[in-house]
Amino acid sequence: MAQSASDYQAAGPSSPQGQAKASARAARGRIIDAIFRNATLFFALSTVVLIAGIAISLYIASRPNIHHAGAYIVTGREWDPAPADPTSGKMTGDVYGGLAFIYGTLLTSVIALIIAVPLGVGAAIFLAEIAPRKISTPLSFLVELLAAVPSIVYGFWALQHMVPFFGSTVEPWLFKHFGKVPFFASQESAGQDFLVAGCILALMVLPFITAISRDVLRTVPSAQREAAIGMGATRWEAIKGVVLKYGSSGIIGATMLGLGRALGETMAVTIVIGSQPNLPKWGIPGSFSFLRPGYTMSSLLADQYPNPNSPLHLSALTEFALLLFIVTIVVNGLARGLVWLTAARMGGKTTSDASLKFKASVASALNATVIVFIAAVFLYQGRQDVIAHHLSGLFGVAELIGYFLIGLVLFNRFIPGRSFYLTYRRLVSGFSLSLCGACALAACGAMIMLLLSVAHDGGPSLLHSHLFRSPNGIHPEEGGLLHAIVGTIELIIAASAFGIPFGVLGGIFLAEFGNNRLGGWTRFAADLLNGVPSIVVGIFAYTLIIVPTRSNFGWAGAFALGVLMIPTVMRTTEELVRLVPMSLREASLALGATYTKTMWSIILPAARGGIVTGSLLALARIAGETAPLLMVSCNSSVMVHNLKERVASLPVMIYVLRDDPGSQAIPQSWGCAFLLVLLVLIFSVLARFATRDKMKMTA
Amino acid sequence: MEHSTRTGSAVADNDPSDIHSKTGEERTIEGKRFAVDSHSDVLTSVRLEADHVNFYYDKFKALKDVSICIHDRSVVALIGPSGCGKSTFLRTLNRMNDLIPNTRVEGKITLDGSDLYGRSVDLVGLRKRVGMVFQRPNPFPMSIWDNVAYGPRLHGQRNRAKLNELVERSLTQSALWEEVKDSLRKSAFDLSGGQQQRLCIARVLAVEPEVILMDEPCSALDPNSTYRIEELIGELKSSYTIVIVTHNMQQAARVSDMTGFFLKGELVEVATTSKMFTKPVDSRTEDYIQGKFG
Repeated sequence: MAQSASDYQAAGPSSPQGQAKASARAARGRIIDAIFRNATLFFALSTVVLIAGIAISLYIASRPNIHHAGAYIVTGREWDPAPADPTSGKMTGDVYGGLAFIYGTLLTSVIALIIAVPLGVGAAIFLAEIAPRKISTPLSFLVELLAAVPSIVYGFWALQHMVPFFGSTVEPWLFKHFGKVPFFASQESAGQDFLVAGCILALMVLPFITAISRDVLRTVPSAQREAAIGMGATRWEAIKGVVLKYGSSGIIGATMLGLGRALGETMAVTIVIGSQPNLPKWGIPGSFSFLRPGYTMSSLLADQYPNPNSPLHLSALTEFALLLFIVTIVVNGLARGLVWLTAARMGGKTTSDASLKFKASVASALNATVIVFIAAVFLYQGRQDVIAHHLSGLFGVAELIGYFLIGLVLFNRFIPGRSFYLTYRRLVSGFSLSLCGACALAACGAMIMLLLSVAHDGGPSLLHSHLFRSPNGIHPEEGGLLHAIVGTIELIIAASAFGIPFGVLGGIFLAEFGNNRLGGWTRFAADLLNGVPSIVVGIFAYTLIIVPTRSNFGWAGAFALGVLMIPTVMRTTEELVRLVPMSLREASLALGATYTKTMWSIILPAARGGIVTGSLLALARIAGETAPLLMVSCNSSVMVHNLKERVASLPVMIYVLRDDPGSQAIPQSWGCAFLLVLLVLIFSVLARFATRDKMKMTA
Repeated sequence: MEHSTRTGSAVADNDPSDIHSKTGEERTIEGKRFAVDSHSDVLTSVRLEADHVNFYYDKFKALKDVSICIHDRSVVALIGPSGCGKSTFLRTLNRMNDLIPNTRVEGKITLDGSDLYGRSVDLVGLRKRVGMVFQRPNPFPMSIWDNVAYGPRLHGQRNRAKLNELVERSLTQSALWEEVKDSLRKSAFDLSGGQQQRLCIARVLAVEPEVILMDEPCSALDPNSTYRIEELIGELKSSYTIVIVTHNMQQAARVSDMTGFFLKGELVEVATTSKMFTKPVDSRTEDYIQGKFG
């Protein structure tokens, strides 16, 4: 396009002198355009470079242990990081078997998904299909807001409210009624265990799954709904049989993205999981229990990475980071692939006879397995109860639920074609729709409760606990957290100085020049980078900056946060630059402007709101990031302004204060949590306004 | 095979049934010409009747005092310029407009004499009796077989052999069976646009409706597919009542027995198709048919 514009210009003037001038200007324009294009390409490629860089640097750092232990790290049951020391009688050491941590990570993620997927999809159905606009718009905003609440806030809230509640009420109840089922067969902790960790993880991935599933359901054409309803389907049947089917790949994609997040989540889990490596053993039902403390890979990193016993220990821990990185990359890659596949299939891709049959049989096998598994669990419980108490204890809660489920399945087989079948269908429809409403209510209720309790506990302490005073080394009770507040601001500024330019310019490349294979790969890399656990990025920053320089802790922290900003900024910028109508571009080019000039003076101003939105969303994400800062051991108890030193920050403060015995620790933590949530709220609301402004401009 | 159920249901709905059972037989013997003429007589039964119907989208009045009788086993075409309310009217006939928030219906619409908008009407049953084919082919994201079997399965048919039989019958009726009988397990998205639309018709036939509503079924199709669908409509009217909305006046002239002309929410004129296109009563109808506007 720039080419044709300059040709036109060159042909215009009639005098030879003017012609020469014009062609020189055209040549210069071409060169500037080329430079501009390649400069943005450079920034866009940063995502690919970062992905490769993380993989390579983690591999190099973990090589000592790969040679030392081989595959033992994923198969070994024993973890003993202290080196052997014959003088004190310790004969073994440097044993790095990580099976217990892998088990913990998988188990907590599975619990989280089992809870979050039905709730999230139900809530999404409610928001997209059932709720009137007046209800669904604010609720959707609430969901998006909660996706941005820092994980450390979730963790701290869980420690203060969920752990005591689960320890005193929920878990004893489960143990009493379902105690014969291995999953609830022993209760060893007072609320710090797999189950609580899984529940808090569920609460964290819930907004995520809800938001994506809702977007997926909204893309299902209304013609599909109408076709089903026009044939006499009830509303629920249309949703279940057609709408969900149409969006199934997208929803599976959302689930996988949620899984990726759950696998890499660090802070919330670390605080509540109890930190004891526990593995199940055959023959001991109690060892399968969810109600015992555990350990996950990322919480191991959070606990041990900042002060390792030996270089070998450090390299074993880095290997875990590498494992986490690989697993999340694979899961996220699959998720993106599925979402992409949906788009391809809806365009009319052939599905072969065999694959359809395969899919159908897998679906029915899965269905049957789930039903048989649930029935088996409840029947097992019933049988054990009968053995223990003879017939007197037969009808416990577990047995009743079990018989009800089995009865329901049988009834469902028996009923079609009966005279009351229609009534039954209507009942099922009404029941299922209200169940979706209940899901939305439960999801939003839990989230609102979290926000309210943070406000309730954090608000007063914000006013009364000297939060805004400088720290006081001699009388810690009188000191405040001013150093952490200032440190957070410094880190955010340094991170934005790095992350925003990369994100914005890379986003421009993707939007303007990215409709080719190169753009595709860059975009894919940005999506993958978005799914890399923040703790892995922290370890990357540590290996890249702190290991060679032995200093620059603040800069390393800011770098890690900047890396986390890039994908969000990049993708939002891309989307909103794309929204700028083509006609604006053409109008400017037709007047003889170069591409670069058009970009700077027309497109970027039009897309400004979008770019601000992307940056604000990214800021909201990193403001509460804890794990990377912890990994680069970026914390301090005094005011520091030099980013080469260790700088304090609010999220790390919450983590440190949670087991501080001082009387001010808990109120101050609540104060920090409240400040962080306020920050996120402000960023999100500003982002919303920035986009709204932008929409007006294009409309 | 449709015959007995049809007459049966008419009896059950307390119509003066002695007349129509007779006409039904006559019709199958006499064929097309007779069927057209029979509408000018009062001989055939009235299947659908709209009586002074008004329809509102929020405050906008989309239908103004529409009254029409639709006779059993006939094809009624509704024509008119865009936005004249013909699709809206069509969608009131199986209450699809209920899905749009803030809409309201006044007046009375009856199916076999019973009020469609009555208090105790069962929407699921109604839509089973009054099927609908949409403007663009909208097959479900399933195989061809599953698409056709979707409706019967909904209504409780789980017997595999019966489903197979039903799928074959519906696909044969919609003139698609020969083309797809070897690839029933293929995704419905693999079919061409015209085939997809015939699949959608088969899908509706599989629930054994009495009335089929078609909302510009050929507007997204090429001429050849359009021809196939029109042919199909001609075949289907021996056993179904069909109401078709179309933009294309030639199409209305080709397929329908009766034609209604809508303008700005009003039903300007209803007459037998031959009369409508040769001697329209209203001058607006004449202008539209002669291509002076619209």
